[in-house]
Amino acid sequence: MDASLKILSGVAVILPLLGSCIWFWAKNKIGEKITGLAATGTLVISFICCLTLFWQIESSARVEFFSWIWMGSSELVNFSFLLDPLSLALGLIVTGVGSLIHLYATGYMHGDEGFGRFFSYLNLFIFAMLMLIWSDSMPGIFMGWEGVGLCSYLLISFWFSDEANATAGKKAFIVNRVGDFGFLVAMFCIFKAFGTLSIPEVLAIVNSGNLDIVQVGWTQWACLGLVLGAAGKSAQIPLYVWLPDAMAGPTPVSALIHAATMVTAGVYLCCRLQPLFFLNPGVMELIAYIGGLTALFAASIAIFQNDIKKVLAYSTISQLGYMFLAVGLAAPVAAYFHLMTHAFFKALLFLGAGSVIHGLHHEQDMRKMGGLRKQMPITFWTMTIGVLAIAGTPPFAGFFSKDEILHIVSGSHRGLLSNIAFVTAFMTAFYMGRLWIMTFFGKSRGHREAHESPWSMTAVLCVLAALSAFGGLLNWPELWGGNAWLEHYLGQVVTQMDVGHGADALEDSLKLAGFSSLMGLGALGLAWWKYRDYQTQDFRSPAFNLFKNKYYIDEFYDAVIVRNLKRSGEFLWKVVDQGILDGTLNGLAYQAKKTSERFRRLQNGLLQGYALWIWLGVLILMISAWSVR
Amino acid sequence: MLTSNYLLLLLLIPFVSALLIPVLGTRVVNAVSMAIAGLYFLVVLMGWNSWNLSFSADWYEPLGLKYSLYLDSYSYLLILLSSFLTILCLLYSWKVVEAKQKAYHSLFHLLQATVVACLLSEDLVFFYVFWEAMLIPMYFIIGVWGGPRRLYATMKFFLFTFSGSILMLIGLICLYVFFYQQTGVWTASFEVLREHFQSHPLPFYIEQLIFMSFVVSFAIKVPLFPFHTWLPDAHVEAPTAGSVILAGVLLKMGTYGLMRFAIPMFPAAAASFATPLSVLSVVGIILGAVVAWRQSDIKKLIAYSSVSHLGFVTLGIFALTETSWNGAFLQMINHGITTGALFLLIGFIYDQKHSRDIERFGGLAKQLPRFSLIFIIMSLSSVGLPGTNGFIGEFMILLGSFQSEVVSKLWVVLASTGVILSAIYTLHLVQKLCFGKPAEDNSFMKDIGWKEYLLYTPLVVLVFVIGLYPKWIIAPIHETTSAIFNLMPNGMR
Repeated sequence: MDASLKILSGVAVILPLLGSCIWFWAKNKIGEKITGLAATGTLVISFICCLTLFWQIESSARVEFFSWIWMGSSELVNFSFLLDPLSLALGLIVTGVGSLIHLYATGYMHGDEGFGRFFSYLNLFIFAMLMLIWSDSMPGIFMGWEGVGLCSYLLISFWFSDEANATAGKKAFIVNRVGDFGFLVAMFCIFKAFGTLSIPEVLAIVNSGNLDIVQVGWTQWACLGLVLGAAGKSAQIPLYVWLPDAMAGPTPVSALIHAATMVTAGVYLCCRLQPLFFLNPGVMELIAYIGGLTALFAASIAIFQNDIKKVLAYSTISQLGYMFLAVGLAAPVAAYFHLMTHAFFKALLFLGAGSVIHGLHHEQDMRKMGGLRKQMPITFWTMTIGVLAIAGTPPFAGFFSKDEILHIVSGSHRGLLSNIAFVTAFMTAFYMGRLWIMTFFGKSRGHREAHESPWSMTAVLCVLAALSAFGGLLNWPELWGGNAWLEHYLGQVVTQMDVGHGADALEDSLKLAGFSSLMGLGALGLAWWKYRDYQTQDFRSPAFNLFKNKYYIDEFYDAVIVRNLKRSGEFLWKVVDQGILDGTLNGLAYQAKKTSERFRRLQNGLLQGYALWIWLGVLILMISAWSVR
Repeated sequence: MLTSNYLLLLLLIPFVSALLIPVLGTRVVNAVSMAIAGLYFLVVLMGWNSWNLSFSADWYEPLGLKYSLYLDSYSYLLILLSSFLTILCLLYSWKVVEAKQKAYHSLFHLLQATVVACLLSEDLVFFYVFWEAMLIPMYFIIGVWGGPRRLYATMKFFLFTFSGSILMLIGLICLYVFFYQQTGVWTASFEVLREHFQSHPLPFYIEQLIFMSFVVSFAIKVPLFPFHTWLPDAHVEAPTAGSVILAGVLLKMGTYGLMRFAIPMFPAAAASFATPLSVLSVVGIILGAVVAWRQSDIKKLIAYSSVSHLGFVTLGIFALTETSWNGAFLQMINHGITTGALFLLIGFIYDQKHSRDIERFGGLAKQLPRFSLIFIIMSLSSVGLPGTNGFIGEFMILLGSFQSEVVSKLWVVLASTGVILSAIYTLHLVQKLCFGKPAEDNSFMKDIGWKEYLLYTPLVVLVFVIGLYPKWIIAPIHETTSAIFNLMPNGMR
């Protein structure tokens, strides 16, 4: 049993790593087709391994491989996996959606110069992501954490000849590093408090309840650090700025990394360490408010974007905000549920957008689209399901997951947060309707002929559409006669806030569901009314400039942080290093030279002068000898 | 098991080859020199796991001076690193350095010899002699084969390190004389002095003064802020191979001195200065990183990044915990590998383009994909990405320092911002070099060939081997660390 777990999980992780080493070089030899299929094949094998693990493991299992960081006196970290509902469920999503997106990419990236490189990075990403979710120690998670950051960096700047793409990749990495700094400090604090970085050990200590006040103090700093880390990776306020720029990467990357998997790592981390956060209710509150604000803030920007991928990017940030909101309100199952359905429908939307972009020869501006529903029927119908899902229309997946979060927020008696959550849901439906209508309806505003995408892309869209349509079955609420499978499954490892039972609760929840779905449909209708015959410009009034320019946050960061850092660099270099330090030394050298020149003047070759100095010396010696005696 | 004669072998091979090379025929110089370096590396490798050898013979009895050698895992690993980097340097210089080849090779062997002698010394006078002697070959390597401003750079390099050495000499003489006053015996043996002054402590302020005299001397070599300004100039002017040895080996002599001599001799004084010294380290980390970012000369950028990286090392040292010491020592090795590789890579493109201006490159990932791959791997190691060697060192330093009794957590957290700053300047460099469109026509540049593969492959392998399974190298490091900490007074552990 144990050996088979070891082999399965090992294969699932190592295969993509090996793949990434091979595809990088092999593409020129074995051709595009085989490379693409082989890369997808490795992922499918990984997925099958995950599936087998999922069936085999009842509650949780630990699999140890070999020693990693050895501190000298003792082992600090092993390479070992913690396979439990949290990590297995996410593992399935990563490899499953990953395989689909790989398949899609064989069509999307067809003919690209860097075809092999692309699949190499993509495989490497899967490896790092599995390390992230399966590792049972903080440094192990951190390895995956930075690893996915690296892949994200490489893939955003994939078309590196364009300086803007390279800059976007760099920005993503650096902003993520700010979060990683928080993660690092959190690890130091946890080690300070508990003397270990192994997650099961830490959680065992926390759950035993024998903590002194000092330890709790350290966990507070640790949790704050983790929140910073999670905000970096999951693009929350204040570190969300990298994600919109990350759309510079190829669209499959945006779907896989920047929507479905990597950006959910922060949510995963918070769920994984839930008991630690329970010790610090203040931090939980902070997470909830960060999530809520981010959701609202990003949605308000998404309405005003014209680049189809940017709309989806801000929408991703906003949906991640929902997840954080749920995490902060002690509802990790709801967060996880939304994470899963979001992985389906957002991957679908991104890939659909990719199909549109592909069909229009790399046109991303929605103002130049329109009327595509006839030319790209499969894309249109699958996208429609995605839009309905994210807008929260029953019975699609997004309805159930979002409804659960709304239910929890309204039950938490935090008026501000629940208002935010509802307003955001309305805005979400509106901007998604806008995207859908501007792209597929009305007259064609583009100049070029569009074509439907190849089967490898449309097939994937269909599978994802099916998942987005029926994903809600994963956690059909008990109140509505379902079995709430996900809740029971995850309930083994995390604690979910109770939302109540009985007839009252049923009535409440039905009211809420009815209200939220009506609201979603209303917003879609509003979008239809406003955009059905869209011509050139929507929000013309300058009052909207603040939103259009994304609240000037990038400009603000640039002016306050980047520019000052640059200035301090110049200052330290020119003033401190070259001015003060070298200046002092050069001054000393100059003085030494001057002094020596003065002494040189003494040696002028005149005997009388020498004689005078000799006499003076003798005199001084005599006086001093006499005085010492 | 190897006997103590092995130490003599370690010491003599490079000295003899330094003398031998000038009498060889011009055509065989390269081959013979490289063969000797390779052989020497094998000889060093043979000594793996047989440290704690010692050797002693009288030098000048009336003053109690001895040729007394001692090999522990610290000195062993640095000798290994130095012999390894020397091979790479000579291989690199093959067909690149054409002028005065005999002298060039001879000086590299001489440099190796003085470094090894210094690392093996147990007698402080012996140590001091070779500490000074190390300067001479480096002085000539920069001064003869260096860039246009080499005279200024060599002068600065020489004056900085030399003035530090004078301070150390004063401290050393004080120890020597105090010991004689108290016991009537002349000796400069580190172990004897250490034991004596542990059991018969000097007045604390004198301990502190002597400690600081050692620290300043070592700190200049490291270089610790504010003594670092010689390094960028020296690196910029040095020939590529000189930069590699300078960064890879010579800087480590300073940190080695701190760990092996200054702190074990006066642990209490070290603890009393822990805060100011670690603050200087943190300033170095941040200043080095931010200034590196603003450089347009690639070599200067890497030189300032060295200041930042070595700041981590000294922080780990002054934090005085076993974990941070293990990390610091590992980071010394890592820095030798990574920065050595970066200098070799920069040298490779400099030799083709004769420019190190960051703005004149770009898009190399398209033209020189293999070069770019290796360059990016090394940059990531320099950034400290988990899975590479850089992470293990940095992580252990910071984790250890955070548990330290003598250094405030605040400084460690500030030092941790170094991970953000290092990403900023390193990715800036990667972008300017490898990504974007070329600033001008670089089509004449060639990608790396078999010679370069030979150079870089072992370095890349080391990056990952240390990054994924560091136990093989931390275990020996820890032996010496724990030996040193066991000898410190109880309050220090």
